[in-house]
Amino acid sequence: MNAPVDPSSSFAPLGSPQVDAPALSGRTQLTEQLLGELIAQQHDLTAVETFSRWHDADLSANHPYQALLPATPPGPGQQYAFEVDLDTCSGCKACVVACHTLNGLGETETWRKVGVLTTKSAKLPVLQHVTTACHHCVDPGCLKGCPVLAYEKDPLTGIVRHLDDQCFGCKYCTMMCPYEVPQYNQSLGIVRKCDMCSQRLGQGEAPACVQACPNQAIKISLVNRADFQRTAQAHDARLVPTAPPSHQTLPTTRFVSRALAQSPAIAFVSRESDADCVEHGHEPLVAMLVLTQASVGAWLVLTALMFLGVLSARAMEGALWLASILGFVGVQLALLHLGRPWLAFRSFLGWRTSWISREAIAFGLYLPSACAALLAARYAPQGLAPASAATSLVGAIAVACSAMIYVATQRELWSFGRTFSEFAATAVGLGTAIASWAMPSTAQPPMLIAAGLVCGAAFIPKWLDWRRTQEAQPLAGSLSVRSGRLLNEPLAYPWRGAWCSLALSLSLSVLALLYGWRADSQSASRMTGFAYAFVCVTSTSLLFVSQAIVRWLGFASVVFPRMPGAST
Amino acid sequence: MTPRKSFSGAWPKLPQLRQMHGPLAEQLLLTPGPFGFGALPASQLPDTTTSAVCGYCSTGCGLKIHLRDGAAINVTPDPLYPVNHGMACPKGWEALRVLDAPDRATHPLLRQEDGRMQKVSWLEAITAFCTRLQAIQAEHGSESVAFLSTGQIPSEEMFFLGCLAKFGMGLVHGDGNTRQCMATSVVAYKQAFGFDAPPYTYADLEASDVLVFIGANPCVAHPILWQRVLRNPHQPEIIVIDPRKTETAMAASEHVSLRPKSDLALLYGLAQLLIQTGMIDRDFIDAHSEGFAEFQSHIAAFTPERASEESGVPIEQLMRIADKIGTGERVSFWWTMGVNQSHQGVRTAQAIINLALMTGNFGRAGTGANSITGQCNAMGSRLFSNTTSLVGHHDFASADDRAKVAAALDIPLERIPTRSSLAYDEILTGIEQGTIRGLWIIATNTAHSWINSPRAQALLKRLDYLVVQDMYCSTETAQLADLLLPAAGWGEKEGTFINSERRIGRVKRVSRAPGEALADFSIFRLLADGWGCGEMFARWDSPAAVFELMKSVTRGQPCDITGIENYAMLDRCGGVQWPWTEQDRAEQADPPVERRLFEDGRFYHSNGRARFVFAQPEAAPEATDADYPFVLLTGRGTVSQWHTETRTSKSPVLRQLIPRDPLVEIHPDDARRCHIDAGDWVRVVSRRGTADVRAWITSNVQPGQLFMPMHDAQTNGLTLDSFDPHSRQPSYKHCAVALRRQPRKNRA
Repeated sequence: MNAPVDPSSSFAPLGSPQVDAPALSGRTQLTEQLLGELIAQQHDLTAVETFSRWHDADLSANHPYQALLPATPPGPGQQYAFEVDLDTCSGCKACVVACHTLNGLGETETWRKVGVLTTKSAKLPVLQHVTTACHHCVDPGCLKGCPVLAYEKDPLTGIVRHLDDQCFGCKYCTMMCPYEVPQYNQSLGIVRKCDMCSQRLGQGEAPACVQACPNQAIKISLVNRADFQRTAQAHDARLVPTAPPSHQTLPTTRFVSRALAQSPAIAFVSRESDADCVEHGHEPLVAMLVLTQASVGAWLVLTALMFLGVLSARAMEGALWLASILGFVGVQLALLHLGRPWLAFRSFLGWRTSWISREAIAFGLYLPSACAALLAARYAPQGLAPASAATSLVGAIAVACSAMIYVATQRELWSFGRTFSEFAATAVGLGTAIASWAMPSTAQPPMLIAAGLVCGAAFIPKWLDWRRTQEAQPLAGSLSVRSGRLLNEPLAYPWRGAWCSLALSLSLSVLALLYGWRADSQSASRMTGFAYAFVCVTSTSLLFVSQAIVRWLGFASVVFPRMPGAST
Repeated sequence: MTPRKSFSGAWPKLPQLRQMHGPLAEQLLLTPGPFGFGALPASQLPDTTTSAVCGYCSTGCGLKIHLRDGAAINVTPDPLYPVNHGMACPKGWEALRVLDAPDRATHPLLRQEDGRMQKVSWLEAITAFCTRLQAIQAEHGSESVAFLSTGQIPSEEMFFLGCLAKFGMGLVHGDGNTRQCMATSVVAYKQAFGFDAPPYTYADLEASDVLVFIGANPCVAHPILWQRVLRNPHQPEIIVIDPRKTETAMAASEHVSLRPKSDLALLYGLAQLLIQTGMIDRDFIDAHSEGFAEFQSHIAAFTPERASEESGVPIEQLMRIADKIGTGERVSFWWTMGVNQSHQGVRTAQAIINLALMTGNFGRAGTGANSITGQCNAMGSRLFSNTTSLVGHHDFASADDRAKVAAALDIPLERIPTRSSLAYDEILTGIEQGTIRGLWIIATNTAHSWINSPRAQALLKRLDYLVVQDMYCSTETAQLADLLLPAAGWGEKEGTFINSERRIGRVKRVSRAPGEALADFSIFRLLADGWGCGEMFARWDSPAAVFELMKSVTRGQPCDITGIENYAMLDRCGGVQWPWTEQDRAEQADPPVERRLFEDGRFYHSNGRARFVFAQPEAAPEATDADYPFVLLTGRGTVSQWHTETRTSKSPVLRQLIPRDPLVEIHPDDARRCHIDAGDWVRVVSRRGTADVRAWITSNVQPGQLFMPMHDAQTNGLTLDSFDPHSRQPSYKHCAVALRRQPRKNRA
């Protein structure tokens, strides 16, 4: 089909195609003039006015969305809720972008998300998009977790609103909300979230997403709060298959769907449930947790040794100082986690419901208490015992509050048993390692070995996750197995790193022990104090590294039921 | 709820323990919008508005442009536009955002001897363009330089481009990226109706009682058309014929999950069933068509058993569909790329037209054999690009047509070539054979979008001179250019688009182009001047003036638009569908909002009859085998992605709406066999290339089939360059591939 090149083709040339130099220069002037005009024209936007259309009519007056709003305001016990007809949601995501545009959100900020549910059953192919925003829960997790009272649930409308100026950016609500609705805004240092366009609703206008859905799939309806208490708690209810269980926060959104109703919930997968991704590692929190736990652990172990009569006040003073400094540094590092750290003084406000507030208060008492004990050690040794006991108790309560922060999220892999055992192992293990510094040289290696073994206990929950993936028939869908898979592949290097640092620490301590025995028996080449100190510092540091990685993995490899669309 | 005012400017305020309102809350404060808008962010209040048609797909939604100080600050869907009734998809909502990108081409760039691209002045660029391409023409003949145009620029610009290139510069060969989307429908309609005339209006979607979608996924590709389907009050039967369980298939009352590329046999089988059961409209066939008897004997062999066997669709389902089509009162058939992008697309489209003809489903509300177009101005390209057909859908080979166009445009008759252009693939083959030496690519991304892209890229590199005219300097094709001309985009220039239902709508300059980027229209004026044919185009000094010329070449054609007064009329009427003749205008001032063709049963062949056109089905060119056991299907990924994503990827919020990594959809059975878990990195391999993508396991694809979105550049590294022999449209949706797991990549 290719025509050969034919110089005398159908086209008759317009003079010589050769470039004619004088003609070109003459043309250049013309072209230059034209160019100037065209560039000026390109930047002149006045032409628009010729075509501007004048709006006499009120465009919104007859908008079909009026039918998508409740006719009356909520009565007693009622509230507003989103109602989504999934059968007409085609997944176009206009709702997401309309919300973004009409609310003037940040560049990448989207308060609405669209996920997709599908199945792996050949007999039952399903492709169901799910549009989701804040569910304005009856019992909102964000509100309960907020340490600064930056959330309120409107008593009339039930809308859960975030008070942006009150927020100090701790991001705890992003963990407390099972639906991951609050979004942290890096540039503002706060979270923001959907408020059901309460300003629009107040004027009788529909929320942006409702207005923008070409298929009228989203509407606002009135619901009775009491209904949610009953139905959600009765059984394993979820908003849609694969979503977090509704009993956690009693979300009010209603998803209506023929396609989903026809199939057993177990058949569905979402991108979130099928392919887990590595979560944020929250490094400042890792540092804060490990350091404060080591600090409290050291106080506990040293106090215990003092009560047992193993250590004198004088001998342990240095270790107590070290423990207190670690605790102080740890608490300060937590500030790095905040988007607006200068507002940290608000952190106690939510003490009635928030474990962060309680943790802040407990650590707020722990540090002065430690100072008092240190002063006692120096100036009033008889007061050391009660002061140490008090410090240890307050510290233990503070660490327990730390643990409860995660337990309260209701994530299975952050359960009470797992979190408390991990945190306790870290505290006692690292505490023992620090306490060993105060011991006589020869007692240090065995104590470090004990510390290493206790630190190893902090690995057990993660190790079980990993172990389950090695079984012949891993339990499909188990969160533990899914988390273990993350340790297998994307997180293989940190996971191995944690084991290596633990193993190195233990090997060093064991070597020091063996060498010390041999040296004692031969009495020729005695291990110097310096060598013991080196072993103490190195072995303890390696344990710190192992615990930091395990804590980091606790954040990074956490898997929990997620709302479809949450990962987008 | 009024925000607290700060009275002390000098003293920093101490942070309060409780702060209910403040600067952060104010950021999200809404105020009632003017001009009937609802509440808008206080920072984004417009002082005036205008309207324009969206510049992505062929739906052609109307957008309200919010202006402040003359410049666009925001976009919302136009509630008064008859196409979209106040709705838009994410691409439309974000139409302005993509104009502001760091990789916008702001100055002409010229490749230097060391291979670097160097910023040059427009004068240098024009001189380079003219001297280099004229030198190639002088050495190798005038037809050794070709152009590749687009369906993304206004009609006025493509009209100018086609006329400048062919009449002014003496080029003979030019084609457009519309070859990739619409060529099949053009040929199918032309042969069947006598003119390339999509017969429908969008109101037909609302009027049908049976809607049949073949190889179309409007939920994703044309979401606002799906809105029109859902507005249909007749509880229509929706039949979706597609190998995949798509969003549209989900919403259908009947999903026909056929084997890929078995559609021709299936459609002939349906026709045979309709004949067998007597559910055909004899009167319509006799009065308005020809060739039915031959068609009838041709399809006699396509028994339900054969159709079922070849398509994998159960006979009962075939009979059910035939019954729905046969008994429906207003049946409309809609097809898109699943049909067009096929090795036998033209005959498949005509098989659909045949079904509509034999059941008399033409010319009434809710009927028609309807091709939904792809790009925003693919329809403009079909009429005015001056590539395959002479402007105004005339014939280069016809002396009468040439004379008519020459007179209308005041162009010397001998400047009009006497034959049609080579098709896109033939131009590329011309590069391979050394007959095409210089290429000018306008607003398309050949190096990514052309089928078997590794070959296309190699051929572009082989050119003596490649000029690329584009909004962005980062496209895969722009990277290969010897000369890059920076173009203004949608929203930065004037003109008209024609949508799928033949509606001509306006685009406007509401935003300043960056740097020295110029409207393609202005670039063509400069090039005409620099080339030495400025005289010929002296009257072509504005899009409005060129619109008048476009009108004049349509006189007497089925696409006659001489009745459209001017741009202001387009604004006033919410767009105008072609045809709208001077005579129409004399009879009534403004056209009805929705008009369909063939209401009088007269088609455009000289005898007024539509033709049954048919052929034997052929197997797809690359069958699967032991080495390449999977069929690779390709298509649109999400609503938020447009083609090669040169534009949509510039919007941060659109980027939030698409999968982070390129993906392949795999059936669970295949995944199990290949030991692939969801989210794993896998390598898809064809005889032409490889692609590293993540596995998404779903039973929405059938076993033995894989699906990859076309937006990832790797996808066309796999596809097989095979074409429909009649339309030369590439068959993107069928090639053989293998699949391997990538253990190392999974441990990043």
